[in-house]
Amino acid sequence: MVTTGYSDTFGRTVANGLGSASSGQAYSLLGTATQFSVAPNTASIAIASTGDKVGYVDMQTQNLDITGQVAFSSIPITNLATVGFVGKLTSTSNYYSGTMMVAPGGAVSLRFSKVVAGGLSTISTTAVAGLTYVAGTFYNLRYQIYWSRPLQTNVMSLKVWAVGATEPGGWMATATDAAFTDYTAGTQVGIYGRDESSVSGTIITRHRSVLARSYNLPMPAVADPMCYDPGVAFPKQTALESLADAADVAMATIDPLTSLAGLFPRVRISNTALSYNTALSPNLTYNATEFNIATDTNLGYDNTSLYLPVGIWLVTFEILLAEAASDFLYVIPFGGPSIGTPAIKMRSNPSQANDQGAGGSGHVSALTFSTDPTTPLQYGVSIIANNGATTYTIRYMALSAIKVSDYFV
Amino acid sequence: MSGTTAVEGYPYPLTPDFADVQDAFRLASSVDADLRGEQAPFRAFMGRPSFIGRQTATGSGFSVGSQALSMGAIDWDNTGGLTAGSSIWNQPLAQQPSWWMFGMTLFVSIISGTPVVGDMNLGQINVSTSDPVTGLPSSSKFFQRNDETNTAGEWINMFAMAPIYQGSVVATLILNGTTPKAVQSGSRLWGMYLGPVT
Repeated sequence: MVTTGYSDTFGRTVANGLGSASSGQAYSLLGTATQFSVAPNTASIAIASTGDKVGYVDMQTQNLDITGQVAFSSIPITNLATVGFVGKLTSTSNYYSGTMMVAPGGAVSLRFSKVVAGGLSTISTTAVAGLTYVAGTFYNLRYQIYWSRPLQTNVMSLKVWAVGATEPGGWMATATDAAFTDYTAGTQVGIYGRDESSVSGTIITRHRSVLARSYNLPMPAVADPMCYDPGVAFPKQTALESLADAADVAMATIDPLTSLAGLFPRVRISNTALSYNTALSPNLTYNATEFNIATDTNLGYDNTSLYLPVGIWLVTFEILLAEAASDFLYVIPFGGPSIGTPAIKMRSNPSQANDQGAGGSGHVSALTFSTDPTTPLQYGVSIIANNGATTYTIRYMALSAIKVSDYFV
Repeated sequence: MSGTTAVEGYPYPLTPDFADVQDAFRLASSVDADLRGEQAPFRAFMGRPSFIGRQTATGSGFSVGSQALSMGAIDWDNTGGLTAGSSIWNQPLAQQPSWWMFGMTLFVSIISGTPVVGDMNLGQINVSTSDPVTGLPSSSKFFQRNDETNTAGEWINMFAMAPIYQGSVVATLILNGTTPKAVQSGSRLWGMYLGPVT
């Protein structure tokens, strides 16, 4: 039988090397065996020398969605250190990696790299705001890379979050690269560590509880005799029965309603009792996330905008102004694919006729689309006062978006 | 076949059986049917029909009458119902009677002069449909009125939800006043499929 999928709880002890993964495959190594070891629950790689250190297995599928806990024994003193995963590996000279990187002082970044014909290059690096690494602390790291047929490129994503915390919606870093196509990419996957310093140090990377998402269906190996032969313990029947059992378990875990909910990414941000001065900034700011499900919106980095990934989106903005001196307000969403974004014009004085109803309330909805997989569509709202007073009180406002369709269909 | 799995009931041969190629075929067919059933809602979601059409040049001024929003640019359309330069969206002929949501962002542009407070600005979404049994045509008109204040041109945002079959949609600006105005470049008509009429 050929083993598919990849998972490893590292529940073993190995002195020089990594042994065999929980999913059954024996690890191959890039690096010296003495640099790798396994103590119960943790794999360690001594990365303190030049070059990538990789332990990898074959999971029989190219596209990858892998999660595990990662840590460094110490913070680098002179240069960067990285820990994470490799994917689509064909050989030790050709593969992708997605990693968490720590700089001297503890600043954390997420990095995509590739090794093509033995040459290492960085695809992109994204700083993780507000996270300072403390030596020895494990973080969850999730790395996804898949070949997009519509885009004809690999789309890769990363996120990191504290062990025990809820996994954040969306991704913290996304990039694309087409160095290895669906024809040339490999099916091997594994754990990764690298010390960027040319000075030998003592940093050790650690991995725990690694799981590549796969239904792990067993397949008969090409060498299996598929003919009926009682003399070889009925191999065909056994293979079919184990395949049926595995398919049974896999199908039982699929919940279409839950998964479908995850396919309707949606987000809503709001603010209440906002004192707002149009002379300072035309862009409205938000301080609450009412919900944020399965979107790439990183509200932590920008409180004025939604960041919408590729797709067709229905965006809605609602606003309720407190009474104020008579004035006109132009409420104009910014972002969108071109000029002519939807807008509302309204008064803040309820004694005047209001363009959108009494009491200084307004609402605008529009369909829009986002096409660039590396640069999400920024969508926010500006207010421009026509004349007179510049200070307003917004009793409530909310900006929301729901993806209604994929773009490439 | 002498065995089935506990949850999904997939067929498999037990070791005393004399299995043949039909065993693998039956198992594969069973799993395949289940997977297709599970994936159906996802595939339907990924292909949800929708469109966005945009006017690319401000229309000629008029003060009494109507002017259709002309979609010089197709920002997005996976329905096949838009034609660049046309003012109409046509529902796919093969689509069953379906609920759709339509929206319009209509910028009313002052062509000359000063707007007069109280002049009528009316946005209209006209949804035409056919009776699925008799084929008789009918239409529903949705309106949003936003009369002139003194702000140098009004903006109209409106939405309509309607069941349609072999139908079409046109967005229109209707005026009754004294100042020449027109549908401004950048105005949009959009729509998205909500689901079948049941």
